[in-house]
Amino acid sequence: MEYSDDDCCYADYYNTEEDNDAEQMDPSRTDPEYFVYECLTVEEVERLLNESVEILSNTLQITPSLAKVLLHAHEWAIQDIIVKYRGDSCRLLVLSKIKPPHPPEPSASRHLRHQVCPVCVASQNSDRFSCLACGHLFCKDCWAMHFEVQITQGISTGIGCMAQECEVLAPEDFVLTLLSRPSTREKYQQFAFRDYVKSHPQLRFCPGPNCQVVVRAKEPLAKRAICNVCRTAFCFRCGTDYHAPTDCATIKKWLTKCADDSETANYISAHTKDCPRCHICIEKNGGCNHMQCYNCKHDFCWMCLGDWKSHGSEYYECSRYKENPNIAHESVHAQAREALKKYLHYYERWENHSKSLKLEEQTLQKIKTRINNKVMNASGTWIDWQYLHDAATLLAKCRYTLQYTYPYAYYMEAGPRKELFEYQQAQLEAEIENLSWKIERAETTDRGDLENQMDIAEKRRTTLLKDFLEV
Amino acid sequence: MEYGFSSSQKSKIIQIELISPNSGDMLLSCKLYVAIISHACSLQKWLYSFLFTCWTSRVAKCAIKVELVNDNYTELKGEIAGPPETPYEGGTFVLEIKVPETYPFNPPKVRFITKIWHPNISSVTGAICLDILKDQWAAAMTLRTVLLSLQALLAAAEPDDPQDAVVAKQFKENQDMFRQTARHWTFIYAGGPHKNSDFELKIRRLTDMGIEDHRARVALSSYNWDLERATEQLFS
Repeated sequence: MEYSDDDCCYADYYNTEEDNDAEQMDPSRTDPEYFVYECLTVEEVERLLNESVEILSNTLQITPSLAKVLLHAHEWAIQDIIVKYRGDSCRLLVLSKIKPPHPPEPSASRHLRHQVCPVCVASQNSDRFSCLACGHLFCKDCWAMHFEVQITQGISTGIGCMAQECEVLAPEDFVLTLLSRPSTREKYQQFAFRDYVKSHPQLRFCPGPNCQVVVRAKEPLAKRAICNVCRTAFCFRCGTDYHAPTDCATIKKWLTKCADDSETANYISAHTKDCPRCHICIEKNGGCNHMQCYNCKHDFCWMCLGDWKSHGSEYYECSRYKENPNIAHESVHAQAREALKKYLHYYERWENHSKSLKLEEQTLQKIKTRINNKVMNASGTWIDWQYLHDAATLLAKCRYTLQYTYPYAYYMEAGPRKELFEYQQAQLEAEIENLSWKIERAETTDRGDLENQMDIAEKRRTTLLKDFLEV
Repeated sequence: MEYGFSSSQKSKIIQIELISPNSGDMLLSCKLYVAIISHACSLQKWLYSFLFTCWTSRVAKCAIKVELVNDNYTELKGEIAGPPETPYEGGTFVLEIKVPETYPFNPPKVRFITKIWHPNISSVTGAICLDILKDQWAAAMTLRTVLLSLQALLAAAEPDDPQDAVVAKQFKENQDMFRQTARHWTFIYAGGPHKNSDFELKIRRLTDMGIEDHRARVALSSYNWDLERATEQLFS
């Protein structure tokens, strides 16, 4: 987040006083992932939307139905609509497809007792006909059939006039008075509600399966929102899985690339590797990348198969991709191979952390059973062991962020900033692996050590996000 | 309201089809028979559309035409004449028209049976890229409007919204070559009057090498009738 200098000098002044009390500090400044939002039910959203409709229809003296068309067409910006309406109401109504660009010519047949409907070509009594502001008359049966067909295709707010080259939209009250089947009416209202929420910049449907919750935030930022019903965490801006520090456009590009190249990457997603010392086949069954061969007890890194000893210190750079400096002079084939190698490097790590996350979910379950056993055997109380559960939860959170640092790094241009990023990424990765190792092996209530490790890992995570999360 | 119609209704349509070509005022007879079968909305519209198109085609000297293919009434055969002063002049283009159950609230599905060289029509499948057959369809339109719009499309292509990228590229970059190619395709597939002996010769060179006639024509058309490049593409 950006702050102008003027804005923050006072805040700084007050914050320094409260510095010793971290809880009291403005969370939007200490926590890069801080985001204010609320989870609403369908009824609450309906009330919210209706409030806007009511304000607009009262201010402009128009029907609520027309107010809805205007709001839907203008991202629910009431003030904006009011200003435009007062400026040139006719232009606004034409642009919002409520009125036709040219006023309809009064047709001679309008006043006849019988008319022929241009759609079904049946001659009927004039009172069986209706039209929108454009004046195109059609019989009510055909209107109803038109609505039915459109609604079965999932269209609601976008239903228009049946005349050729006429773009006038049918407002809600027009549709509902002509639709008779209760099931279709209900469908229409559901679809319209969906359209309204989608056109509202402050609202997002929770992407969780069968979840009805709508999340509301004042600003459409790429921050994490967590549904209070199904607990799905997602990016508020693009509605997909939360992806900090990568931005919405980049993660989309990355996921498309991964989907396209899945065949190439398949061979590396094999679950087994050979121990670099005794060459026995090892299947990775835990999340931690610090492996210990069950046969020869050799400690090695799952990612690079190197000795783990060199990973314990700041030399950890398994996360970093080393580009070939002479690549510009190489042949096209070599460049293509290098590009694939680079992609595979990042993809392998991305995929590996995603798998580790899943494996650590199982670890969490195992921890729960382990805590129960320990407590039953009276070795420590439940509170004593609770920290292990907290550690596993934190581990998942850290690893999740780490996973999403790889697409970010892949698309980053080489330079000092990338070096800094990869340094921080390596630091985070090293601490995460330490934490993972400690959690998987915690036997005694060595709480201090673990809590210390948790603190370090989380600090690394927030530091990285603070420096690189641009929202 | 129901779509579709019973067998007794079907027999009436056949009667109408038999009677109507001989009656004087098509619209009048159309109305009359529409009144007989007044249940199915889509059927009425279909019938009206069908008869009105037959009627127009007689008045306008066969510029457009619709025929039934079989007796299930959901599939029709359309015909349009290539518009004058275009490479399609003198050709007759046959269309496959599939009328959906929800017609006229959904557009008919139309494609060219006759092979044609046009930026908005696939030279392989005959699929058409035309807005009124997609999102710009309006229930008030008829088969007649569709056929007239297709005729207009032949007269004025929209290369910026192409269906066939190769044709569109040629249209934009080499208008003269496009016109000659389109005229040649009209001559071969649609009975057009303009023979191009130079093109024929090049095709024969390729068919002599065992390439199938149409394949040879597509390759040559795609490479601006450059025999060398077409051969290269065919044998690579």
